[in-house]
Parts: sequence; structure tokens; C-alpha cells
Amino acid sequence: MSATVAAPPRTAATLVDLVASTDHKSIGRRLVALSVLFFVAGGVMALLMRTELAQPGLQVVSTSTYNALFTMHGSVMIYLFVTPMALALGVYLVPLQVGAAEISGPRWCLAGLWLVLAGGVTMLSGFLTVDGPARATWIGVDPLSQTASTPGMGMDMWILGVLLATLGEVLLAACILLTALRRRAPGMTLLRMPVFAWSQVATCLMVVFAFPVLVTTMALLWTERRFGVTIFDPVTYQHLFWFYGHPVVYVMFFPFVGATAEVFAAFSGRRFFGYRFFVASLLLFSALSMSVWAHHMFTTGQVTNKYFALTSTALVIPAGVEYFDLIGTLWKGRIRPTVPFLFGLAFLLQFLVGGLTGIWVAAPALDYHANNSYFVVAHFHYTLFAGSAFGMFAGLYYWWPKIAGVKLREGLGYVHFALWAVGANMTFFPMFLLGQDGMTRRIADYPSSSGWGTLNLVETIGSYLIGLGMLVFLANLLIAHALPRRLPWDPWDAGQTLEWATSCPPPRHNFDALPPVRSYAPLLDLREAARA
Amino acid sequence: MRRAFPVAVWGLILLGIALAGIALGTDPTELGLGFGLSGAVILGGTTLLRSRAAPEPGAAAPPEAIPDLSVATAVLAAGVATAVVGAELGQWLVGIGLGLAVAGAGGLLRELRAERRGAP
Repeated sequence: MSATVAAPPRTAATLVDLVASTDHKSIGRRLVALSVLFFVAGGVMALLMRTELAQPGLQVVSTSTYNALFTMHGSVMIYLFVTPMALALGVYLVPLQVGAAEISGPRWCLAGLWLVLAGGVTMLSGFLTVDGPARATWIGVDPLSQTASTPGMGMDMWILGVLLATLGEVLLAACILLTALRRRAPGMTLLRMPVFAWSQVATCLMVVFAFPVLVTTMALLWTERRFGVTIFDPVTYQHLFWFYGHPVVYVMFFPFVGATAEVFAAFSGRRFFGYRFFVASLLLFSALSMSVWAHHMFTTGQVTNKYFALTSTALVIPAGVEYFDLIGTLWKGRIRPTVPFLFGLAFLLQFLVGGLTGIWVAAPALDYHANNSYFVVAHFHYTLFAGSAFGMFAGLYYWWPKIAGVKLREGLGYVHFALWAVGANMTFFPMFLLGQDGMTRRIADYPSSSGWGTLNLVETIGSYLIGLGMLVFLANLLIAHALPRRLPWDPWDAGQTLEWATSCPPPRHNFDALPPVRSYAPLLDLREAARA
Repeated sequence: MRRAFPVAVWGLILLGIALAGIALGTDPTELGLGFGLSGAVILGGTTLLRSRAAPEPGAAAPPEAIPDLSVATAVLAAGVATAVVGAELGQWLVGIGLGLAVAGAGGLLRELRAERRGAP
């Protein structure tokens, strides 16, 4: 651990603290809060869309507004919620998990936070423009994103918002990556880093090397619109976009599989199973994820389908290793069905549905049928929502005492889990059936003769259960913070990694002293030594 | 060397996957992106390897000053964002953004100088 010269401890946060604190814990907390706010905004948009689709012939919103809603829903969720949340957990936890006193480059980290906020505000400001917000999908697909198809300032503000937020995310990821590589505690070799820290290394490698391509692409797209020049053809745009667009879905997955791995180890009372294979699979998985981008372009007929089908299907190998390790961690463990554990278990099961259907669409012949249908919508919502969002809550409930100094109420947590487990499957499973039956994505209405009304109504009811579950979570936050209880360093009495070797929340310099690090589970080592 | 190891390994995996693309007849755009990526990663890993040495695990790290607050950084970030948005909304906003960015950069220089003076 670096010996540090830290400022004297501060008391209540002032406005200056909120704006300018370089403490990674403060930055992480602010980024978590920001991400949750954006999640609520994106969720409201989803509920509006589901209300429109509940029955054929409903006109809750106009077609043009519906186009804006699916564009902004996807944009908010990907650029402003899941990705920043994934990095927020890394900003907060990686320095603690590796035993560092501070994150590498705290000022860059602070700048990243403000760029993400600025990007979000810029993107959403499109709602205030005369022509409304962007309507060219979260991809900004060319030529739909050109001035002729989507005139008005809203599309431009979307482009600049994506650029700023993505730039901020690159800065955050660089800080996390350098912390893990350069600031580990004495005795913590690379192969003694916790699994969550390794998941963040894999995540941040993808962010640092893929996200700048999006920043550049957005700058060029804005230039095309502003100056009326042609820089891309539609296929080249898609190559550049999906070069970012596929890695980002793994950026939105790896931290939450890492969180689930930690939660499983803690609440099964066992050391994480197959650690070295898991680390190797994370590196292979992330490398493959950088090499599959054109599977989003199979139906253009302009890419080498067999190469991208091979790399896409090869993803099942590291995915299988990770699943084997997660199950192996639970096997014959002393399971404690806490709220984080249940969210983690649901992640394991539900992400599997998304992952297996990914193999389906990784086959070009099958993708030609499923492309642009609700089957694809179901696939990515099972991975990103029923998978990653559940894994995210596994991490949030588990680490909330460490982050905020309060423990969320278990009773309300179980209610949240139940509403979400039922709601997510009600909302997204029928979409597989609708997609197979031919329902196209991104449509504001469908004919009553299609027979799709019943399943759409089921999905809408499911989405409202998800919304209700989110309200329960927000209520839990308010109650826990209004009535805080004093917490020990490890309120779960299950922590295995270094973040549990300090107070909740930690002091400015993170640790007064560090235990010896002899494995990737140093606190478990101490407990086992004490028992022996 | 050890701290660059994950980056180097990752770069080599990417290179292997890109080489498979040659065998499967990928087009120049796909090859360019694949080899460009693996080259960038290997270069990044090499840069990290040759960068200012961080203490190896087990070695005593030198004391360092940690900034507690950095208003200048927030101002700089706000300036950059304002200038970018100003490219759309008007030169007047670009001017404000650049002004903020310069003020932020100046403040940052002051912070860094103060840190160096105060470091043990």
C-alpha cells in the first residue's frame, strides 16, 4: 500500500465536495446515483412504449414519438445507465479490492464523471428542441441519421451527447485499468487479484480500445450532417459503429458476472472455483468480443459471414468455462439465500437464456430469419436486463453497505427480487415467440388480425411489475438511509476480499492497515487459519 | 513487466484471431480493424511496460500527495463539454467553453505545482 499524505477527514459533503472531490469513493457514489437516475428515465420511456403496444390500435403516442422513444430508451440504457454503472462499481471497488489508497489518475476520473453527466444532459436536451430528440435508433444508423432523414438539432445533440459520454467512459476505464495494474498491495500478484477486479480489467481493456472508435465515428457523423459532406457509406458506418457496439455489450456484462462470482463465493462460504481458468476465460472472452462485431451485419451481405459466425460461436467456450466455475463455486457450498445471492442466481439462469439464443443468431442462416424481429429484442433484453441488471443488483445489494455505510432492508429486497423475476420473464420471454411469428422490432403498432395482442398485453403487464419493483428498490434506499444502523466492517460476515478489511464506508485513505495477501481471498485465508 | 502482462496476452490473443481472418478470407476493412486493434493493444502494452516504473508488489511505495479536491478539473471538463456543444449551438458558446477550459487548465497547473512543492 502506498504511504500517503491525505487531507484531514471531512464531515458532511459540501457543494464543493460534490463538484470537485477526487476521492474515488465519492466519484463512484456520484456515478452510481447518476446511473440510477438515467435508468429511471429510460424505464419511463420503456413503460410508454409498452403501453402503446399493449393492444393493437392504441395511440398513446404518435409514430414519430414512438421512434424517438425506442431511440432514446436504448441510448439512455446503454450509454448512460449500464455502461456508467459498470464503471462506477469499478471506480469504487477496484482500488479497495487491490488494497490501494486511491485510484490512479483521480483527476482524470473526476473529469470522466463530469463528461458522462454532460453527455447525458446533451443527449436528453433533444427533447427540448423543435424537431424533438433523435429518432435514428441507438445506433444512429446511416442513412437514417443523415440530415435528409432526421433533420433538426435533436439528432445533433444526440451525436454530441454520445461523444461526450463515451469520452468520459474512456477516462474512467483507463483509471480503473491502471489502478489494477500498478497499485496493487504488497503480496497481491496479478493472480491474487479478486475475480471482480479481473472482470474490471477485461472490461476496461475493451473500453480503452473500442470506445475511442465510437468517439471518432460520432465526430465524423456530426461533420457529415453539419457540413453536408459524405464520409461514410452505410456499410462502413456499421463497421465502425459495431466495432464499439459489440464490445459495449460485454462491457455491460463482465462486471456483473464478476459481481455475481464474488456474491456466490461469499454466500456459499467457499473459495471461488476454477479461478485461473476464469481469469483466462475473461481475457479470451473479451478478445473474442472485439472480433465479432460484423455479426450485427450478416444480413447486409457485405461481410465475411463465415469468419464472424466462427468467432461469434467460439464465444460459447469462455462462457461455458465461466458458467462451470460459477456452478462449481456453489456446489456443496453452505448456501445463504440472501437478496444479493438470489439476484445472482437469477442472473445465472436468465443470462443463460440470452446467451443460448445468441448462439441462434450467431448462425447467419438463422439470423436471416430472426434479424430485425422481436426475437433479437428478446435475446438482448435477456442478456442485458434479465442478465446484467440482475447481476448489477446482486452487486449493489452486496456492496451497498461498503458504498453507502447502510444496509438495504432484506424484506424489501426480497419483494424487489420477486417483482423483477416475474416481471422480467413476463416481459421478455413472449418476445421470442412473437419474433419467431414475424413481429418486427421498432414498430409502434401491429394489426389486430396478427393475433399478437395477448402476448403484447402480457409483456406490458410484466413491464409494469418491473416498474413497481424499481419503486420498491427506491423506497428501500430511502428507508435504509433515513434509518441507518451502525455497521461492522463486514456486515455479511462473509467477505473474502480486501474491501471488507476496512470500515463501511472506508476512510479517505481506504485502509489503516492491510492484512497479508496470500491468495485472491485474503480474508477467507485468515478465517480458515483462525479455525485451524 | 508483470503489470503489462494482461495487456500483452490480450494483444496476442487478438493477433491470433485476426490471423484467422486471413485464412477465412475476410475483406480489407475487417482485416484492417482486426490488425489495427491488435497492433494498438500491443503498442499500448509496450508503452505501459516502458512507462514510469510503479513499485512492484512487495516493494515499499514512495509517499505521494493525493488531491482531495480539484475544482480546476471540474472546470476543465465543463469547458470541454461546453465547447463541444457550442460547435452545434454557436461560436459564442465555443468561446465560453474554451475560456472555461483554459481557466481549468491553468488551475490544474497551479494544483500540480502546489503538489510538487508539498510532496515529502
